[in-house]
Amino acid sequence: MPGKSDILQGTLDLMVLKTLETLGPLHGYGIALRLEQLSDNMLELNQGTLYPALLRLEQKGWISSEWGESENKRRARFYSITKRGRKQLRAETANWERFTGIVTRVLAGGVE
Amino acid sequence: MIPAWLSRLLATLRPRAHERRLQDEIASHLDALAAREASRGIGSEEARDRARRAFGSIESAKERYRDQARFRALENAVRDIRFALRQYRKSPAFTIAAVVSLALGIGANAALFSFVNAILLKHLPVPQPERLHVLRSSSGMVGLAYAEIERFRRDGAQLGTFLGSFPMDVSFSLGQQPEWVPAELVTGDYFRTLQIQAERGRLLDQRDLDAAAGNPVCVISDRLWQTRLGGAPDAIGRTILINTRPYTIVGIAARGFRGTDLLRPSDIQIPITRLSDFMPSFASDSRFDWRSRLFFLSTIVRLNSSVSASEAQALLTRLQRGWLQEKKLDPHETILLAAGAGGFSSHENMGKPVSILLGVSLVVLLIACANLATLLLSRTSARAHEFTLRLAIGGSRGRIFGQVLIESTLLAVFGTIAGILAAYGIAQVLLAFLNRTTPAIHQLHIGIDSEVLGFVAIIAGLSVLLFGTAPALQAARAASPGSSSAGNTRAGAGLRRTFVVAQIALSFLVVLSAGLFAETLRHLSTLELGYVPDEISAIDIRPASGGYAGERASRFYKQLVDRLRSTPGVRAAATALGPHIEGGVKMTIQAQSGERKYQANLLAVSPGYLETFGARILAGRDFDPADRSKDEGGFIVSEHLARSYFHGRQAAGNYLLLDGRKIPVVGVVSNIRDANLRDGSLDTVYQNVDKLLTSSLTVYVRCAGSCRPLLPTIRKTIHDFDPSTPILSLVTMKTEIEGTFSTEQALGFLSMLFGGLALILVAAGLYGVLSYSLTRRTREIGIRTAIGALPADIIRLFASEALIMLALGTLIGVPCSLAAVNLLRSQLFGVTPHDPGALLVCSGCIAATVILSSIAPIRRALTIAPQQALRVD
Repeated sequence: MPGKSDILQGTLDLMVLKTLETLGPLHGYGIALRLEQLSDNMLELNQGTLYPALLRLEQKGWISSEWGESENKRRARFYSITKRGRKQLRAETANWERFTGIVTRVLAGGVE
Repeated sequence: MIPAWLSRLLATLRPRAHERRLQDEIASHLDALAAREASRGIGSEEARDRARRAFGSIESAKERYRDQARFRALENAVRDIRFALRQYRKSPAFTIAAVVSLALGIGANAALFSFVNAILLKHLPVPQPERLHVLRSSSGMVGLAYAEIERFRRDGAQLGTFLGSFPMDVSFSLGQQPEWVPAELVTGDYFRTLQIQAERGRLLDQRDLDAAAGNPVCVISDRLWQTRLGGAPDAIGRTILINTRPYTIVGIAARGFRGTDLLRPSDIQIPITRLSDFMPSFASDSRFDWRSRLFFLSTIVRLNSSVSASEAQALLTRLQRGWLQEKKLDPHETILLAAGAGGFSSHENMGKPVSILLGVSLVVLLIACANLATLLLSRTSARAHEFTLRLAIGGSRGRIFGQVLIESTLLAVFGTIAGILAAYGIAQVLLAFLNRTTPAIHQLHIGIDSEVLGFVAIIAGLSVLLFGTAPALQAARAASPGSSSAGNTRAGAGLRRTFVVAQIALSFLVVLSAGLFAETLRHLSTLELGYVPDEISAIDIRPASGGYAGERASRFYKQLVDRLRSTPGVRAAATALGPHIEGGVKMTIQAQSGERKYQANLLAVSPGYLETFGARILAGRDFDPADRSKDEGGFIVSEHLARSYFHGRQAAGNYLLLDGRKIPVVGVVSNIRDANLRDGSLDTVYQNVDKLLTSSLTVYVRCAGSCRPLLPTIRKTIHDFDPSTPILSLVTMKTEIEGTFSTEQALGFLSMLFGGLALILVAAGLYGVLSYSLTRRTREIGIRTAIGALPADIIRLFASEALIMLALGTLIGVPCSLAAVNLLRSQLFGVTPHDPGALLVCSGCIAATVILSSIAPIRRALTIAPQQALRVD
């Protein structure tokens, strides 16, 4: 199935952190929606897998959560990025850029 | 910010809150998804379906969420523990029996290990104790002379440093009523060798020793400082009275340090050159140079790191031979070095017995484990259905193994907790016994410390492996599909029988040792003593500590004896040199003609001593107080010695040949066994103590009837006679004698307790196996009865099972235990390790146990009617 790709281990964390940094506090559904929009449905994301990831980030202290009310008056848990989360995001982004840079260079070299 | 592991742990312990949050989040997510679809004009059914598709597998998301939220392995363990607890609550009898047998096994081991640890494994609280070595001489002489140690210090300095010590109880007073305090007379390098620091002030050094007659100074322990001087800072420089002489406290030794013998702690160190304050008759005798003639100092060397023990041994032997030759003494001696990390602590008294008891209690624990294994195997077999079911609905074999092992572990945990409580009780019993031979045992801080707990953890863990592995494996195997099949249960039955055979074999060792120790105790307590121990009391009192020496000391004793004789209720009183317990001095007498030599105990006693002990003069006479001649006077010999030495010839008026001299025998007296029953012989030679110049005697008093009620009167009489001399000890001979074999009593009592325990465990194990075998074979028995089997056939069926196990257990147990009990030899009296009677009684006890415990299952088997067989599944 061309066009859709699996999510690399760890990249989901990065995308969730980035989403929360950009948009501020958001519930699980909102995060899933945002990821879907940004990737133009190119990502194979089972939305259910988002919740274990959110819990992991929370246990690591990168995000925090509390109950709130969604736009359509529903009870929902809102996640927001913490100070440590921002720091982690910066480090991970730098890592990611270095990594993609290497991959790009290698691939470019392979073409020559 | 709580760390991830803690939040996971909390979630594991309280899973519900997380579960609810997960539920709510998923529900609200699905609702939102469905609402979006609905807003695009899709029907509610279809919208919900699409939402679910977008979300993915809800169950898998939940599982992954749970894995993230909690420790699943721990959660499983907690669940298994809860399940196991429920199981145990359902069969309280089994649980209590299992926990109690484990608790007794583990408790006994913990208690005895605490003794072994304190007696055998503790080191002196000094730096690098492994560098310390105790010097012994090959001739077995007690110690070295002061001048010898001085020689080593001078000429053996390249080896290390040397200390000499002589333990002695001294009277200690701050100006009021004196009390006895254990002390050590020490050489100059004592503290330097131990590398002990001073808590306050300074420690003793060579200058204190070298001063004319030694400096009257002392170092006291931190304990004495705290308890008697209230920890006052001005204690340094304070003058105290030791044996009525003024001494200045120059320092407090490091906290926790109490001398070189852990079993006999000392609270005061005094320069050895002050000897005349403590042993005036030796130190003031001008003809006798105590510095080179008194071989009384226990010696320790701290070797330099570059010196090996064998090098030191060689050099010291050479130095000592040179010194002995100089002094015209027998130079054929070798110095031997023994490990001295524990100082002079002598384990000969108690080390061996407690090690033996620890060994026996380990065997009892093994039996308890084998017993538990049998019981648990029966339970697993009975639960085969449960395990098969769990496997069928998706449980893994590993989880079933884990579940059964956790059940065993739980038993061990309960058993260990109860065992530690039991250990306190068992330790108290043992302490009460040993306290009588070695009162200082209280100083040892025997207790459940971290080392003992470590040992308990190890044996508890090994126990779980021993009794838990087989049932857990069995359960995991039993859980194979269609496995209630005969093959598996038969294998289980074989295992159970093996464990019962092991129990029987091991119990031989325990019961046989119990029998041997019981025999030992019986022999010791029924020995003919030659006097009534309850009617005599021994008083240890030393006038030297009250400042009397020489003639004044003898006068003190004579007047005290006279005073006691006139006390109402007292029939006779006398003195003797040294406590009766020690049985005098060993002497060798030559035969009047021929080469033969006789060993005897030489006891120096006062006139009236024999009468005090109620001994009968069989020929000749007692010593005469009026006999004032300066020579040694005559000897009185015991009947036993007279018979073997004189071969029926008249003894009184005859002579003994001693070092070529003829010593006249003035009388023959009925045998009196000395209080050291174990190696006490009946060959005794008495000499008149009045001829010796000594300042330390033991006073004996015979009462009309038991002495016990009279002890306070005697104490008061002595106090009225001389309030300044404290009484070292005042006990009846009965107490004193019982004290000498309290170790044997402890061995006898505890080993019989262990023996009984072993038999109960064997009975329980066998009963369990037979009962289980009975339930399995109900159908078979019913059918056999139906087709005409007689009760005798049924009995044979079960009896043969029990008897085969007994035979196998005996076959293995007898040779093994006979080999093992050889280790007990040194602790036995009047019985050899391979005593056929003891083995017979032991075998009888075990056989009776096997037969008695199989009677009930067999009787039940006889009542099985054919119809019953049909009702069994």
